[in-house]
Amino acid sequence: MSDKLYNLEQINLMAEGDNEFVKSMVNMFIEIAPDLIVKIKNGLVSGNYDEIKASAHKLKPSIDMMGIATLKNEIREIEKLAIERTDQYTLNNKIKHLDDTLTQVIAQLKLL
Amino acid sequence: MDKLKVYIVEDDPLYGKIIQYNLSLNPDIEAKLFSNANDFLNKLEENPDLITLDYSLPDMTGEEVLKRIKKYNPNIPVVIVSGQENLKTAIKLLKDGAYDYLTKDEETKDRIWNIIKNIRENLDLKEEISNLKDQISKQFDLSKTVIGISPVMKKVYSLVEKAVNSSITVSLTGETGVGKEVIAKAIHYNSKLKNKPFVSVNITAIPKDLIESELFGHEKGSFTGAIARRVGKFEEADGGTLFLDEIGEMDINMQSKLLRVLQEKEITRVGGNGIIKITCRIIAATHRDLAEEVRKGNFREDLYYRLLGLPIPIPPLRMRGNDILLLAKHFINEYCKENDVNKISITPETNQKLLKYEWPGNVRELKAVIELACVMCENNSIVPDDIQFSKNYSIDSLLAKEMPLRDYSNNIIKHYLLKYNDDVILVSKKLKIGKSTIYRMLQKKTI
Repeated sequence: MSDKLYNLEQINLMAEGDNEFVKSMVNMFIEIAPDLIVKIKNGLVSGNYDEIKASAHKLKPSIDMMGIATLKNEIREIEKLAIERTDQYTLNNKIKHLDDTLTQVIAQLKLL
Repeated sequence: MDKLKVYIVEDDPLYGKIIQYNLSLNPDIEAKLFSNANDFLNKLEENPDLITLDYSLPDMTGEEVLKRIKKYNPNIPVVIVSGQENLKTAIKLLKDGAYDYLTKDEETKDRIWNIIKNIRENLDLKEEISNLKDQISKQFDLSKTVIGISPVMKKVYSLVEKAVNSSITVSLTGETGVGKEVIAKAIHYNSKLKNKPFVSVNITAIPKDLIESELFGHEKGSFTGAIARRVGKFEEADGGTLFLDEIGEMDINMQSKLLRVLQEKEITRVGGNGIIKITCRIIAATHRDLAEEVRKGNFREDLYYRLLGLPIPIPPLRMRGNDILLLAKHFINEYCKENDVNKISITPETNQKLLKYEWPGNVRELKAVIELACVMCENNSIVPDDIQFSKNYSIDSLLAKEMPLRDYSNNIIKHYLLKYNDDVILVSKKLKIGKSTIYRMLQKKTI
């Protein structure tokens, strides 16, 4: 099993020891993250940068909350590139990395 | 205190839920979460104590939501929470009335808690102030403040009721010590202005050359001694009541200035240029017959009519019959409460003595006599010998109770002021002390 790509420290701190609450937050993330990734990928395909920007913006606090360190800067860069609408190549790569990493995170979280 | 209502407007379900959960851990907080602006705005009339507002919502910008909140109630604090740092946006939102601007990071939760703590402290303070105002209001509840059931006082009550229910200027007339200030306060604290300031000015307590500055304020450097700008009594009383006591003592030059202010409803500070609108209600009082003073040329006729408003003559104590006994009992009870002593009774013979006296000093004199009697009485019972009227005030009575020299001096000055109707200049001549000494003591309320 690969190293954990997430860190629930912040959620645990905010939940103040309520494990049920932490679980419900994890489940919520598992539910909403894939939808947002789909929207980002669709936005890339259709050239809808506003959609990429909006979805990345929404995903950003959840990534921070789940302590996904490898995506902390990545998601911000995706948002920035979507605003600037340049360098589609880099944007494409970053979105792919986002998708791959989140897929692994969700798989790991489902094992909790 | 009621639970603090915190409304969280956040379209990120994870973030919103976490903040809501965390806040709800405190039993004193009721946190509600809204995922879009419209749902939240439909509930704005629930008057939350604090709103945390996501800057980018699906149906409306945070800026627009902020505008609508401020239009509804500018006093509700709104904390903008944004996913990105943007100094320009932050400054604009703060100028538009946002309480704070936070970026979503690991410290947001603590920052929100700090804000809640500050808001809670403010609300506690506001509640304390409101309670204090209520207490003051109760203290001046008409039925408890003004004691008396005589026919002459019932007439006063009916006029006071009319004064309470309107904003008309009131002129209170009556001998010294009848309770003009008590009536003025009762009018104020039973009117719709009760939560606004009540500012009292005794014209005789202020040196003539300082009256203008006292009433209208002054700018820094406007005269020797004006080391800082000072707001005058008219401004202090803004929205509330200004009580001008002993208006009959105002000199004729100052009367012209006062008339102008009352006509134009604006003042200019001494040494200043700016015009300041005034919005206070005026209650004026005097022991003089102002109509007579007008006839003599000592008081301006136009100012007299401007101040007349609703005239309420307050009868002298000697015309109030058994009210004397009611008041005596009240002062005894007050004395016992303040000095934490057992109940003091009063004999029927003493009551008769009280009823026969003329009371030139009216209620104020009665209070002083009763208080002294409470001190002098034996076995918690006031007998006729304990009642010392001012005409018979002797040196033996003065030395009956030991006290510091300063208190002896204060009592002597008090006695003379009572005797000579608060005529500071005359009393200063009689006692051969400076009138500024007496003014100072009046201002500091040591006498």
